[in-house]
Amino acid sequence: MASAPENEKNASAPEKKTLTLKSMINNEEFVVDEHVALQSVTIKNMVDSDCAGDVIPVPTISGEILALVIEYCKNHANPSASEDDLKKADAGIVAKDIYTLIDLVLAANFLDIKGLLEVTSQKIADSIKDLPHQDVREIFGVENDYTPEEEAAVRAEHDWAFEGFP
Amino acid sequence: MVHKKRDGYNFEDGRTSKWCWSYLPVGVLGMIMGRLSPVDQIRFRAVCKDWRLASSSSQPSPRLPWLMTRDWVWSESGDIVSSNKFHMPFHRHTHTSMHELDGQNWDDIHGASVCTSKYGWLLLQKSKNGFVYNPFTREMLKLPKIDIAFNRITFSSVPTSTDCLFFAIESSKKSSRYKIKICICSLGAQKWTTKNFNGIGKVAEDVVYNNGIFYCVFSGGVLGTYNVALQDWKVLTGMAPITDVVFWHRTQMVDADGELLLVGTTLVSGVLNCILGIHRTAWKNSGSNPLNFRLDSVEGEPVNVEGLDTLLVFVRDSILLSCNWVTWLSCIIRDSIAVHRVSNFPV
Repeated sequence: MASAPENEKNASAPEKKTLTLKSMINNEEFVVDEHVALQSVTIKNMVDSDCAGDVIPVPTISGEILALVIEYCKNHANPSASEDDLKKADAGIVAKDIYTLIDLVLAANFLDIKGLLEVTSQKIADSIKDLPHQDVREIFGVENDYTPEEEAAVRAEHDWAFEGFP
Repeated sequence: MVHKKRDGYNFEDGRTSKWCWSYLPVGVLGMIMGRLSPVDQIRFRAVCKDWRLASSSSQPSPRLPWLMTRDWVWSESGDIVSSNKFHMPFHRHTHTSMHELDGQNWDDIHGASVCTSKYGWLLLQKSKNGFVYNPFTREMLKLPKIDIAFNRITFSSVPTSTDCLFFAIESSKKSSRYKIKICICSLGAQKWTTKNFNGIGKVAEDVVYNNGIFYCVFSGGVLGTYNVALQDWKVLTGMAPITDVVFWHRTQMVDADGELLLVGTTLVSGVLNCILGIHRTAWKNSGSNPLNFRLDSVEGEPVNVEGLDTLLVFVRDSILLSCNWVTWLSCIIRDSIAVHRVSNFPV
């Protein structure tokens, strides 16, 4: 059984396997444990189908946002974290301005991380809920594609809901 | 609140990307929309067409009941206006809407009691005048004068639709010598059509419409059905009366997706608790099945609504109301509170 030590070494190796995620926005690289990164269904699919090279390029997600995503995945990959701990940690991650949250929700959507998508959507909803719809347009950079008549008609359908709003 | 539009990111090769949020994936938009209160969802339909689409496709809580309370307040100009408050207990959200009424409408609506509420519409009655009122769109449609002293009145579908039928029933508890009178009309009709049937000496306690049939529950749990197409009235026999429980006031009937529930309030262990007795019936097949009443007790789930001193009791998608100290007040509460289902909103 001379090869036993070598086997042990091999057995422990997968646990330490890491992946490198690279933001294609600003070329920032993050080295993360594989099991942490695999919470992203998108990355998991890439790894499973052998499409992932040494460095996984992540388009349209900045390093700043990618760091938040990785923080979320690390927290949720920790088996000893209690539900309360996770709730608190999630709240910390989404305690950001609305623009960061929009980036984050898009990242969660692209990387297909259900929990992060949910918690970020909730935070965005909480942040915009009492705003006039014109402000929401501004925040999301949405172009108003209604004609003035169409917009008036949409409002008129439920005029009561707009009371107290411009 | 001031929001600054942020600059786009700079790519290495000098390109600048401006995020184009109008293309926020519909799925993501739907997730955000689904977490907003129904009122905000309705408002944000005005953002752009994509948002409108997302609001129609997201289904936040289709079972969410709306609670409306009505009040009269002085407006800034010194007029009395109707103040409608819409409560969404699960969203901890209250939306107040002021409705300034002109002379005739004010005369009609002031002091009128709410007989029933469906599809976001209220059926109001003031002496012999009946009308339907939509507190959201503020449409008001008048019904012909009604000549019977009806116990209960209801309607079959959205009042503005052509197939909507209004149905009123009068039944006296004094003696079975008194006929049961049923009045039917559609919107725009000049008068009600009245039909007389053999009396049963019981008061009609509630009436609901389901799939071509108006179901009527009388005191003691006696059931009658009126088949619209056949113009046929039947009192269903072969059914044990409810004797094992005393309801404190009129029972109410609730249509829970085709299954009709009979709900009455009873008291247990003193005045402070109230429970609901539910008689679940097998009415799905137009009442032709043998009727087996089963009494279920449902604990009232207290839900606090700001400014309302009531205990709300939810039964599935329906809301039933009771006061936490005197249950007999529920008749009064019923007069001022209406139930709306979000799923019934026109998209």
